[in-house]
Amino acid sequence: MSKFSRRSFLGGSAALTGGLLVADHLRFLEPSTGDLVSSEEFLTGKEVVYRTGHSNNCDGACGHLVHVTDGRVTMVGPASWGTTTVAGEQAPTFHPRICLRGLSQISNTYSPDRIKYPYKRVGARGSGKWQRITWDEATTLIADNFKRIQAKYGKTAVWVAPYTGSLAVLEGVIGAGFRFASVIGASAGDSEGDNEGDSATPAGWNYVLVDPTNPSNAGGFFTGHESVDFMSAKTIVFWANNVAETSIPDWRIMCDARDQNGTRLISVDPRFTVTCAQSDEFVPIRPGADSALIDGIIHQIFQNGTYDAAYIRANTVGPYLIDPRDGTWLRANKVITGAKDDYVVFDESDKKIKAAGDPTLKTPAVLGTHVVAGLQARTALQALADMAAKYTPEYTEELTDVPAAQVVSLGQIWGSSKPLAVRVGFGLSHWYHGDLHMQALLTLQAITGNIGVHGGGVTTFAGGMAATIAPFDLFDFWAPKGTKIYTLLEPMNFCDAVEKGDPFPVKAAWFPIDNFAQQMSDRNRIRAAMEQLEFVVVSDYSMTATADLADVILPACTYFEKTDLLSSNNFYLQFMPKIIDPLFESKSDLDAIRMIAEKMGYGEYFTETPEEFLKQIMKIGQSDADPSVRGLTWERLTTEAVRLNTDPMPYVPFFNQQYPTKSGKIEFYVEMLLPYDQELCDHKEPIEASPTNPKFKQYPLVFLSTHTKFRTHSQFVNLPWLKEINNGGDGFLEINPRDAAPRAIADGDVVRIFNDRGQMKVRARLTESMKPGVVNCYQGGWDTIRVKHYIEGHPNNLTHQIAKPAQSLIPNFPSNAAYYDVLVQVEKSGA
Amino acid sequence: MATTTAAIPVRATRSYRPIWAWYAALVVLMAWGLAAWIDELRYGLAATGMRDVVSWGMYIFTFAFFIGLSAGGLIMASSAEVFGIKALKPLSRLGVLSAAACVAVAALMIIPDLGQPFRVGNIFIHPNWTSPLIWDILIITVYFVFSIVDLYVLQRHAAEPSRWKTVARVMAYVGLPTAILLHSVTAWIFGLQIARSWWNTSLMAPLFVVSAVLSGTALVTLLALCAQRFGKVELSQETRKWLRGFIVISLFVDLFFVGADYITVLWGNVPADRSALNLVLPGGPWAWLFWIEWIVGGVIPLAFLLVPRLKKMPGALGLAAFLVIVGVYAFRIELVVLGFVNPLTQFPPGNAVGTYNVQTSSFQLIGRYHPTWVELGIVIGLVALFAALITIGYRALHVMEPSPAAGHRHARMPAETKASS
Amino acid sequence: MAAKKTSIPHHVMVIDTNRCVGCWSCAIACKQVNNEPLGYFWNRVLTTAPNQSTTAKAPASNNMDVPWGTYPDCELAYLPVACQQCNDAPCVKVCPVQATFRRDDGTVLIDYNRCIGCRYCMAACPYGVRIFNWGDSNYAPGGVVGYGKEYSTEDRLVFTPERPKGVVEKCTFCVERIDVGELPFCVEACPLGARIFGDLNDPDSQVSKLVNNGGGEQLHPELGTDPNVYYLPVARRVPGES
Repeated sequence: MSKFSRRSFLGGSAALTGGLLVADHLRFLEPSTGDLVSSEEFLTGKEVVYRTGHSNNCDGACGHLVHVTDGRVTMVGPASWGTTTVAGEQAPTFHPRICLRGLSQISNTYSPDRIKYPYKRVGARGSGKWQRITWDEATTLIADNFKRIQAKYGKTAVWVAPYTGSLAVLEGVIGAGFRFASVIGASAGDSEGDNEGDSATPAGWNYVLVDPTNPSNAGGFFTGHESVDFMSAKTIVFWANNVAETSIPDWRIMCDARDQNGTRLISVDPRFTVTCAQSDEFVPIRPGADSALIDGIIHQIFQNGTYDAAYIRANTVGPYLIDPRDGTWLRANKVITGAKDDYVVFDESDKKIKAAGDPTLKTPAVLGTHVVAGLQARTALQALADMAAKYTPEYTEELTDVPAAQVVSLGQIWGSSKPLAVRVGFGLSHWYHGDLHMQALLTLQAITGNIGVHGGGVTTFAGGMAATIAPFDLFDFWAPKGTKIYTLLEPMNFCDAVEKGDPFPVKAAWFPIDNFAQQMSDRNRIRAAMEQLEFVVVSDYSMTATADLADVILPACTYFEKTDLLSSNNFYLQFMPKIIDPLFESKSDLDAIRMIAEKMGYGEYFTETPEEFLKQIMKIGQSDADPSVRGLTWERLTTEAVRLNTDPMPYVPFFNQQYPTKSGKIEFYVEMLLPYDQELCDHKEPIEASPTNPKFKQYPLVFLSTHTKFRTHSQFVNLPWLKEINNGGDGFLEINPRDAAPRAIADGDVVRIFNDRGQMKVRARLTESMKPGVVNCYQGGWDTIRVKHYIEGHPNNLTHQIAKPAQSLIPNFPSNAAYYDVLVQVEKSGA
Repeated sequence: MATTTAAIPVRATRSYRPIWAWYAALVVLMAWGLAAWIDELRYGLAATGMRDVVSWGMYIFTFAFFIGLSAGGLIMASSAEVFGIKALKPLSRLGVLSAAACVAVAALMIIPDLGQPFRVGNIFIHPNWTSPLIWDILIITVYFVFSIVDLYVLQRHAAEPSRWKTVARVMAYVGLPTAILLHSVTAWIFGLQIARSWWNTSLMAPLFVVSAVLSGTALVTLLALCAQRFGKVELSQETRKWLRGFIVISLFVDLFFVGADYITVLWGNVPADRSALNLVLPGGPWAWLFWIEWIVGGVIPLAFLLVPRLKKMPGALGLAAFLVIVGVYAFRIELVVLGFVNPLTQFPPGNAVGTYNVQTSSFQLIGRYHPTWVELGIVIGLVALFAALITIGYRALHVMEPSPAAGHRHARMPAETKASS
Repeated sequence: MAAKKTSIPHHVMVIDTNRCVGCWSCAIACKQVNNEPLGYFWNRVLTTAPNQSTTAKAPASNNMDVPWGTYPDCELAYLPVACQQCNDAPCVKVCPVQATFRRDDGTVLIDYNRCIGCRYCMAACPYGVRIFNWGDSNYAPGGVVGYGKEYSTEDRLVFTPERPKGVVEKCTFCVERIDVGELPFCVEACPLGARIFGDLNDPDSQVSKLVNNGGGEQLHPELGTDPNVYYLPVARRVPGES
């Protein structure tokens, strides 16, 4: 082991740059910043400690202990979790968790940036001229305008778009905003908050594992392995998932797996992130080439014969025969006399063609081409093998830039290290073909027998909708008796609705804790569309870029100031009590909605208190409550973080190997994708960010806008504690020196990043963490009238809204903003 | 020359308009310094250019500078007695006066550097005997008292040479090591610190002592030349020769020490040690200190002290003395500031700076420092105090008046001396 | 016979750099519990090469999170540094008024009522972990946060939510918390569980096991400051091993 000698502590190189020369000027005092307050009052009053959950747009959903003295929050720390489930079973050990953002929450709640009062616009939209008004005036304005617009253009012309600014039950992305929309007959955006970039991989997940046409699948869902389940894995592959930076407390579990169980960690990413630094192996992949790499590994699996035939036979459509004429499944009733409508297989034991449900069936062949009614029918697995045949290590290297030897080695690991868990980030979903990448991962995991087993699976959210939606009766909450559910208009369709009235005109919008005009892709287009709206309402606690464009601003509460419930991906229900009174004139979204609903004549639907709503949603005390929460008392819910009932525990989706697909099996061969040429996971190049794109010559760099640990999307962005450790809050472009040098860009130079859709300017930061040909500017920084974290523009000026038609097959995940599938050019900027 | 025991010819101190202008200027500067300190008390040390990375600045390096000047003055004065250098004896009292004034100013220089100056009494209530700062305060106190007593003794000795001869001798023998100890202890404030390799060398005390001799002698030389210019006394060639000699030799030794240190670091090439040196070597951000030390305060004064053609120029000695002092000041800056500028850790983001400014980073990898008007004001105010103390002391004590004491014959009486008889 | 646990604990902290991801949660937690002003970090997280030593190419930029090496062969690690609570602390040796002192349990504390603000301790500290109150401080919005009260030990004021102008401050191992049986807040807050705190005199404590098994290393051991903060080194497994 190396010694921490003076030498090594001081650094291996004496590469010092800069340094002050002579006094540049003599100044009297360091200029002080103004902004900030300090109380001379030490804490002398009585302290009360509350437990709550952190609902600010993060699925980590940490539990917080909030200390309050004299009505002011004075400290936030990590809270522990209940040790038993609703039913009383011992829950897996789960450590208290918190990160730098939760620890900074006090300065977020008490920020001078808080919107204090309702405002109405008095200048041109976006000019930043406001007049303070009362809540009564504001809600009247809103009610009147909504009524007017609905009368003139149709009820759905009002679009309510709650988003992931809050993940809590009543007031976030599954919250009362949708109830309001249903009640007034309006359209509403994306519940569960996926369709701005996080729905491609869920769509792919559904292709393979869920039948979207079956009503009991409610339009598609998305779930994953509980975090602690990863302790059972022999190998964990982080696929486009910078867990150590974006899901920090979950990284602890991965480290425990590594340190206690010897689990191998592999990280696939175009960037050398801290996750890659701490993994045993780094796979430096070309962005967007994921399905090619997976196909290359699948090729190795077949080459080595390490597919799990027994598993494939039992749990996948692998043995089912395909009609060679059109690629659909052969139907038994069409090719076997007397057979019912069923899949067709070839029984190896007696070399006969049989229906899949034939009781005499012993060993369906997983591979091979078999003659059925004169047709040369391949098994689905054979079709997969044939598709994968071209993905030799060399060809894979050509497509992915991953060295051939590493492809071979990955294939070797994937076929022999079991169980193998994949944790995939939404980075993979920020691609046009994100659905295909997920489909490919599931295919690979299916043929290696890693789905529905402890320590396996493909997980994005640890629990996903199983934890965040299933426990609740949301449908009755969103569409109370006597009302119809709101009309769905996904964020990706907003511009068409506004610009062309397709599928229907939208003339007004309400964004509760949704920074739509900054965080949505193709920002220039979004802002142009917003200009065309007649009336915009924004509820938020800070003056975001979306609030800049509002007609009426409503001051919203932070999570300390209102009652709610957080159900999170860690399978715990966290009651969120109201800890302090709303600051200034802020009100909870529920209160704001109530006031407006009353003025529109729908007050009857909002008479319940938050507690009453929660009891209804959870069916507390009712026998038809969801099994995950059945038997839970309100008393228990409000005194500790309660773990949901799950089966199994730790939670593994499809542990019983029953799949809600048409076949009841894992459908890595997706018949419904035949029209889209995607029945198998054959790699397709990114829609824009590919060297095969003719635009590549003009815009040769792939533009990523990833997450940073110092922010949560566009929250926490302007907090002094976080800004002073994050480059003063100023954004920067990460670029490899090999890309910077030919452009004469030195570290710290201002650069212009541009493509046909827009441009932005920031300073460059040279780093070898970027793959040459790829640049990155962390998203979430603000571009508002008052506060700018980028010198000019915003990363979303460069992104697009190209939607993939195949996704429309999944009602809940029909469209996706492919934030990373973007090409740009970068040049040194004079200014 | 009068060798009788006649009354000492006392030159009437003339009311001299320029002297009042001089005093007025000093008072203004001292007032400005006081105002600056009051401002500093109001705003805290944030009014200075110091921050957490470079946490000692102008006050400390000027303190060390004045300690050096003080020690050097006394070393020179005591050496004259101890080693029987008759040519320097006329400057003894001036040397001791300079030493006393310098050490007083040095001690005062520390006060504005304290974050809580009104707690300074804690030093005497709870002294920590392992701290070189406490040793320094002790030796400064002893030294100051000593120099006042020595001044008194030498005054008496000038008046009654035979009676005070032994005492004066004893004082000199005590004074020389005391002065050496003063600056060694000050050196040890830095030299004993294991945290900073730029400081942590056994060479520190010898280097400080030799630069003290250098700067102190140069200061006394300058003061004597000022006395010659304004006070109508004259330095003999012999005296000048000795002064020149002291300066040249101590300058050579000083540059030798510094050079030896550079060579040790350069050849060893240990990155942690090199990184500090790289800051000051030509090409580095603090290279201007290098040039001042070696050229302005080294080669040029040597030229004016050694090159025959230059030596003869009027004002050569004074110029050399002045430049040498500038060079030593640059060395003090280099010592203190580079010890802080050179990062303790070279890993980003470096050290927190201890104040917040939206426009600049809260961290520094490499320290940045430049003094503010507050620091300049206070330091200049204290320098003005020094000038005032010297002027008053010189005029009140007539420290360079010719006297019946041994060695007086080397000081020539000005032609217009009015002998009173 | 197993060593008996003595009555005065010897507090040490162990930091696992093999799992530190440089998230700065510990640094922010420290700011919160100690009500630190802006620009002040008792605890900071340095971006380093693994075990602070490598022959790989230096980072392309002198900023946090920029790795060593050349893509794709990069290296990156993190080192959280706060007061090392040295057993032979240079700061304790040089403080002229004994305002900085070492308590029997190993914590090095500052008496805010006695410090004269000479900053000799800052010059003497090899780790650069001391912060000075240069002037009026700017705080993050929200008023006094964290522990929020004064705390004294051995008749010395060792914590106050707003340190006076002109005194030095630094990590105290959360003395006001450990004295009542809680953990330092950075230990509680670290999302990775990378910080372990305990009593070295207790042979059953986790820190004892980690330190006494030779796993923990000190920073600048050659200086002899004998810190009470130990670091578990980065240990990357060779790919290919099962």
